[in-house]
Amino acid sequence: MSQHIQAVKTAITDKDGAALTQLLSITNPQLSDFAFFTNGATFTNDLKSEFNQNRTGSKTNIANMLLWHDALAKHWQVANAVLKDQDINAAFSYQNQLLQILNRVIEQMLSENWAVKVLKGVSRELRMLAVMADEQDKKLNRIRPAVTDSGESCGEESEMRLEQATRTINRSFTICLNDRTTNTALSKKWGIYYFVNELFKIYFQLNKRGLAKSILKVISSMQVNLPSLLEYPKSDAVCHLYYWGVMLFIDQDYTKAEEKLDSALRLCYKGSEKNQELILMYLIPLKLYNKRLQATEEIWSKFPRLMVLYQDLARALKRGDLRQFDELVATRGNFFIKKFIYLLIEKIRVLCTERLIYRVYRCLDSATRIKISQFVVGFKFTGVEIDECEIEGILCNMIYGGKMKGYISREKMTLVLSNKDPFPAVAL
Amino acid sequence: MSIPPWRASQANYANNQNAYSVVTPRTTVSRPAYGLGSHNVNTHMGSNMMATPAPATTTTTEWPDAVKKFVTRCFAEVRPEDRSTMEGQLKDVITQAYNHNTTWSIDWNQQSLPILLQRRFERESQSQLPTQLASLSIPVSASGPLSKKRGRSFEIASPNDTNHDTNKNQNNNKNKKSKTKSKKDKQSAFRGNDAEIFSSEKQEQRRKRFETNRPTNIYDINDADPDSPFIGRSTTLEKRYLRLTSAPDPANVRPLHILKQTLDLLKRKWKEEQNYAYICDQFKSMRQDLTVQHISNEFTIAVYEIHARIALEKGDLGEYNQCQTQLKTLYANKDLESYGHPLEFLAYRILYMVHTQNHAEIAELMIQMNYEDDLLTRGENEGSDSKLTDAQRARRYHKTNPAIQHALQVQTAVSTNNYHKLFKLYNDAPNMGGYVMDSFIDRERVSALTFMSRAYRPELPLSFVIDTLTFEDMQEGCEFLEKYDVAKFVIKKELSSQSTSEGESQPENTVACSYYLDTKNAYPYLEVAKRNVFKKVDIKGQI
Repeated sequence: MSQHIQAVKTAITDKDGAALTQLLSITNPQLSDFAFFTNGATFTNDLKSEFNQNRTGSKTNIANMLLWHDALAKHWQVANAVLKDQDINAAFSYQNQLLQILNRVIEQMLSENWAVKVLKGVSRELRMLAVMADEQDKKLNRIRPAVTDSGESCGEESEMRLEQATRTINRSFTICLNDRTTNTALSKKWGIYYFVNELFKIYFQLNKRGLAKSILKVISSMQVNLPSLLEYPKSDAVCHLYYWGVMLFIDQDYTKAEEKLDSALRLCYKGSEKNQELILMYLIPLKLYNKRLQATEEIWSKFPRLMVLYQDLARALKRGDLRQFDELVATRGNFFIKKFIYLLIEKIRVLCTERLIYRVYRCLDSATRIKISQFVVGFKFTGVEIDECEIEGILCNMIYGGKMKGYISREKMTLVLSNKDPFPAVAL
Repeated sequence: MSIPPWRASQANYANNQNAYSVVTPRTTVSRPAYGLGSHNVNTHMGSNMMATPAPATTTTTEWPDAVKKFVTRCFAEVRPEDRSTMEGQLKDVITQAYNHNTTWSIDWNQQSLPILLQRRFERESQSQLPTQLASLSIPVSASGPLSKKRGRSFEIASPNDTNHDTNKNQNNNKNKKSKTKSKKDKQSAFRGNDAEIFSSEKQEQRRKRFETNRPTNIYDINDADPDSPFIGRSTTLEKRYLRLTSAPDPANVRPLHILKQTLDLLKRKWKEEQNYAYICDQFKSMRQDLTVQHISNEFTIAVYEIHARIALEKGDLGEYNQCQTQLKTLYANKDLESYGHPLEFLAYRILYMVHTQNHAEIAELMIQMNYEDDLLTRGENEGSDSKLTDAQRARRYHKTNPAIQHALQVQTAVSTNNYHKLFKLYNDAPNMGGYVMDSFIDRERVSALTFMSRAYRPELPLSFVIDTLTFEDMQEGCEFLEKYDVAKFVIKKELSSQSTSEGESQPENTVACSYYLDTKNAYPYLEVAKRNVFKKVDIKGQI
């Protein structure tokens, strides 16, 4: 057993963050050995004697070692709660305390950032433990149907554990953010986006995107002092851009959302199809709406689930087949609503009506004078009932939006189109 | 008309009589006694702010009995380990009172010392909170008065659950509590420099601040017996609304059965007199009485719903929003599930979100509604314990609720610029949805007219504009055009002989038909107007 403790000590003296992260992880294969090597009563002594053997070095070094000792003791408690007692709630609290201790340790380490890795690993596992503990709670309380107390959040009534976790992780984030080290290579600032992403994940789960937004504000106010996002580890950057893009998407800032998600996709590791799929789920409708760009065959074949979701829809849009479009949306509506995509789909439907208008125009041999009633007939032909007023509305929108050159004569109830290029944006 | 009459009268009222409690002078000069702690009735009234002069005993060193009692009480309550701290604080308080000539005017029976309050708070909070929370929230207890600041939010909250004899409120309060706390903790996480907090100068400032505020604690701890609910004794049906700045006086608070009579009276008066200023004021005081007595039941819902509807009818979005916020929590209370009209008000909320262009929140509401509908259907398929009658089901099922569906269609129409549909929906809005839509219908009209004036050439019959934008009549339409500065582009056209002859028999109709809007010239003006209307939405009273 002393091997494990010895390994921890070595990792600390060697400043080997990766090894230490592995050693303090609850997924470590040797965890059970570590948990069972001693019982609670003798544990502290055992650990102390193991840990303090041949201690050397300066005073600060020793003090530091003591803190690490506390951390390791906490980790033992976590391991115990997980393996021996199988008490997920206790495991969460200990892990939370572990992160608090590590926050303290790492805050005191000036001009070195190797240990941020440990912080990352521990906070990640803290989040997972919190989710598990909350899920367990929910199961136990399941007797009552889960109608919310707040009415706001999506059915998940106050997730105490996850919320507690955010506070500790937030501390890790601020420690990194406020690192004043001038040597960029040794700055803890490199950890910022990792923790921001962890927090985003939680806030999204808790339906508290407002908090995520305020973090974005904090970061953007610090932007001057931070390295560019592209210099960060790619995984951090991709994840951050993804959440940022989705937030913009929900706020219907579609241009910027596309920009962020585009960069996310570009940086995304090509092997990670799951992440690419997540990004594309938002990016495909965005491209359709912003630029009328259809996804390529390559994308469809690579992501079959997205193909099921979007391909027919995109084709119906291209054909201007309003009826099929509506039918497809009807079967996918709940999913779209759940993912915040529905409101964009509504807007894409407008594009579909515009395509249909264009097709009527083509059917009439590109006539420059078209009666409003002819459009009604055209719509009816594809199985959509519509009245003249609504057609006029669509035409107004198109003319106003620069998608059609021409004017409507109310007196003659006729659309008069320009001879040259009457549909600048609709014809694909 | 610029000053709302109920406010103006409120000021007068405060001048004449003190509705709640006697004015006591402030205890220190370090801070004007604006806080919760002061017993001033009305903070707007400068004259009330003046301290009443103390009896002229400044030269003698004779102490009032109350002070002596106070000292005895303190010594009786203190724990041995806190004794020296307590003595220091006691000395400070009395010296200060002496220096400021307030020894006679302070109500010593209601005073306490920071250290005692702090211990009291710790005792209470430890018994109430789960241990986990306690360990998180009170690590600062050793640092003196600092922890009191945190404590206060709990102390204020604590009567909520202790006063209420049923456990109806408990869930809510627990939530509230945890939320306040998490907020505090978050603040402290960002506060950073802890050393500053402990500097002696700051501590002194803080201590002073708490002295000023101290009376807040008095009600919560001394007066209120945590086991007995607060019940008013007033039997007057009508009461002016006055913002509470101190603990409520039972003599001025109406108990539930009186409030029920009040509601009947107000409903009758509203029907007969339609005096909104009066009604709004009365409803506010009724809401206040409900709040201070922690009454949340079917009746509370009724009061808020009626007030919300009246406010809507009068276009008072601010007041409506306050009611709406309360209603949201009331509807979420599981014990009140079968009361009120949650979906009707949810529909208003959606429409209101359309007004404030809060797309994200609409999307979230849609998710929430879907989720709840799912639960309902799933519950039925599984044949679980919640077998619902058709009526109960209809009460809660969003997908079949006409008001909700209407609101969602409105949102679609607005977001897709389908103005034709929008105005149709405006005309047949269920319940009072039309009143909510009033708040944004002008904006959409400007937008629609801008679109139209861009697309139609050479001109647009005015009657068509009036019809499409669903104005009540020609006059309303013209006022609208005036307002947005395009009335000058209305042109009169010679009618063909055929219609002139008709015109003689029906002068009004033909007059309408002979007017046109010169779209080409009106368009730039409308474009400017459109940009202005969409610039910002004033979010009134929204929380």
